[in-house]
Amino acid sequence: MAITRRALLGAGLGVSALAVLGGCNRSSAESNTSDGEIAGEIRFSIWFGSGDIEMWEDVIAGFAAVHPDVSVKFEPLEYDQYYTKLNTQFASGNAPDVLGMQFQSSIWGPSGLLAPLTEAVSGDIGQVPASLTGYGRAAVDGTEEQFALPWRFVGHSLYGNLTALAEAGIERPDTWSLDDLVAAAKKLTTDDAFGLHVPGVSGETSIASTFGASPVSADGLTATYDAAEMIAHKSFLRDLVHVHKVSPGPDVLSTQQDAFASGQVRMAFAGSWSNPTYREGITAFDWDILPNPGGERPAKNYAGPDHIAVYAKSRNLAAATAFVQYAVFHRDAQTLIAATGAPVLNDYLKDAERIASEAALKPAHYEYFIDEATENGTGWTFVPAFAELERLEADANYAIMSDPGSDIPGILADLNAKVQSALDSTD
Amino acid sequence: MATLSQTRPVRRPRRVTPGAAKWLPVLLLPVTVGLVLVYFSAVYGLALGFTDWNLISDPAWVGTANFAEILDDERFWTALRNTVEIVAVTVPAKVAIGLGLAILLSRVARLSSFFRLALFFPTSCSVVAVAFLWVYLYDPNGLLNSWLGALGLGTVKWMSPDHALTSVNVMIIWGGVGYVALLFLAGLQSIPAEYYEASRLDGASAWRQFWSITFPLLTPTTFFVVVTGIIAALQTFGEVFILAGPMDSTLTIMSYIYERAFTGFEMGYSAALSAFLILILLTATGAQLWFQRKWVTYER
Repeated sequence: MAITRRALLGAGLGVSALAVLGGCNRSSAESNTSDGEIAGEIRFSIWFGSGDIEMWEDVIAGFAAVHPDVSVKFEPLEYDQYYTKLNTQFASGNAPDVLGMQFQSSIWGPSGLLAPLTEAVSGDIGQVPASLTGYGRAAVDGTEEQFALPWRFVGHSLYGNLTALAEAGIERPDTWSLDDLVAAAKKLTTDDAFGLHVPGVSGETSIASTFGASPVSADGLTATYDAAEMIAHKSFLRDLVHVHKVSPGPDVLSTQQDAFASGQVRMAFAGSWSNPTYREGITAFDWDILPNPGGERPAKNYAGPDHIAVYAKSRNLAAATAFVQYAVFHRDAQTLIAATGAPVLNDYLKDAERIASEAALKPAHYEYFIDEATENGTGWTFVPAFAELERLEADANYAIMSDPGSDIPGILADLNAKVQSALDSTD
Repeated sequence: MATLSQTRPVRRPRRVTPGAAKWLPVLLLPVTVGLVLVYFSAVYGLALGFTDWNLISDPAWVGTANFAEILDDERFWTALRNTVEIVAVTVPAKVAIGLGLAILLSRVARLSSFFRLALFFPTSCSVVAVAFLWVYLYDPNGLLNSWLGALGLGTVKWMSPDHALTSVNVMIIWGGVGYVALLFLAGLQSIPAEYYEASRLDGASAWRQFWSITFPLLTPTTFFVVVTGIIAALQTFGEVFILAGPMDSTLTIMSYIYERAFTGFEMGYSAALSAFLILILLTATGAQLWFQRKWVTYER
């Protein structure tokens, strides 16, 4: 049979029309079944680190077992791409129903982008420490609303190569000072490896706090890089590189490998999200968490929660809210999530059995991390201008660390002015 | 007396048959949609340059404030300086190396297809893949420093502020020179062999042949390579996005536009920066079109 051009065109238009109608139909797919059970499809997007994708797939499978009529379309993204894509999705009104975030709910919630969860979680919110739920709250017309919930608790620790420590004749200390740390780093430094690595910005938190230094004021509104405490802290870090020669300067470590896991450094501050990678990847030496060294003031841990929230324009608010509730409050989900950091449920966070099982997998002093992160944790860079602050401080660090005679007060004064400008311009 | 117009062939209007005419709306539809999308986006982007918009709240009209801010923006001038350096280094280098490679290729009888494929291969790879390859090469413990170490030489901080832009330029030249060489090779093959035979009979040296025959007849290709090369270099983004140096050492106008738009979420300011870039592109291309009459030789 001959196919005429008209028939071909008609068929093409017909297929296009069906595709468009199909798309419309899918986009309006919703929600409650006749018996009131939630149903339909929701999209869930979040950034991922090592081990996160598998963990979330398991959490989604667990949710599907509880809510078989809801399907979750998982859209994980690299951290660098995540917020770029999310903001363009906000602009087009097509953000995922459930979305991950760090500290942006204080802006996005009152802007109308996030659905208030206050009522939905009022019965369960007490299961999470109040210090963790505060980041997700914001006031709208004088009323406090819970716009986001913490799903995981992460933080930094000082990781140590126990094999190298033993070879250098250093016992794992229970407490130690900054001088002890430098002395140990000197013993650990060889032609092939540095004794200590203090990665910039959030990785500096523990040492900076012993000098009483912080990048911003407690309310997050004022830059404090030009304070004497910060100058002392940066001078200490520069001395590690150029005076004591125990830390790598800029452009020395490979960017393609984890500095600690690859053996390039023997002690390093790193995030708890590295634990799964270290457990699997480090076979050449024994390792553990070391105590934070003390200084003029007690050390703090860089620590804080990662959040999850519901898009206000979600076409399936009931299912999206149920997924958030499952991830945060359900013990099975929190068990899976704990593998990449720490859970957020009060009774589970400090559960002796859970801590023992994590410690058995390493780090052996996992409990020290939990205690420090919950009792001495600080998230001082959790400000809306975080990305700009991080970039500016990284540049200043480069200038300070690359030159033994760098003008630290001048560099920090310039940094302070730029960060203050970034804080002021955040809307 | 015949007039000039009478000597020209009469152009008869092409008639559209009634059968074909009814298809015109259908055929014009994609063109119209395409044009509307392109020009609407351009005009919309320009209009955004006069607003303050963070993607979330509604755009607020700020007049020419964004454009005025650009002139005082230290980082914009850093980005412009870096971008101009990329243009000034990579375009002449690609032309010179590409022409040299094309001449060599034109004289290779055996395995010429292999060499052409090998030269063109980097161009066919995605910029991101190429940039990641060079990230490994430039790593402090990477291949290049391993080779230097094996030769007993010191290592180089390839991505330090002093060297980062040069390192990026090398990568851009490596990635683009094969394409330029193939264009020049096509140009070389279109030059009639009789010109060379005649000049040989007149006793012209190879050098003389190059300057009097090859180079003039390759000027249309050179012009094309230079125009497209400058446009591409002014829009350098992928390379410096992956292979970024510290302290804005590899910041380009495009990467700055991206940063302000998608890290700072300042869509109005980045739209104003984009308008500046378009102005620079139009000026550069217009100047080249104007000057080409003085140096480009078209064979008649």
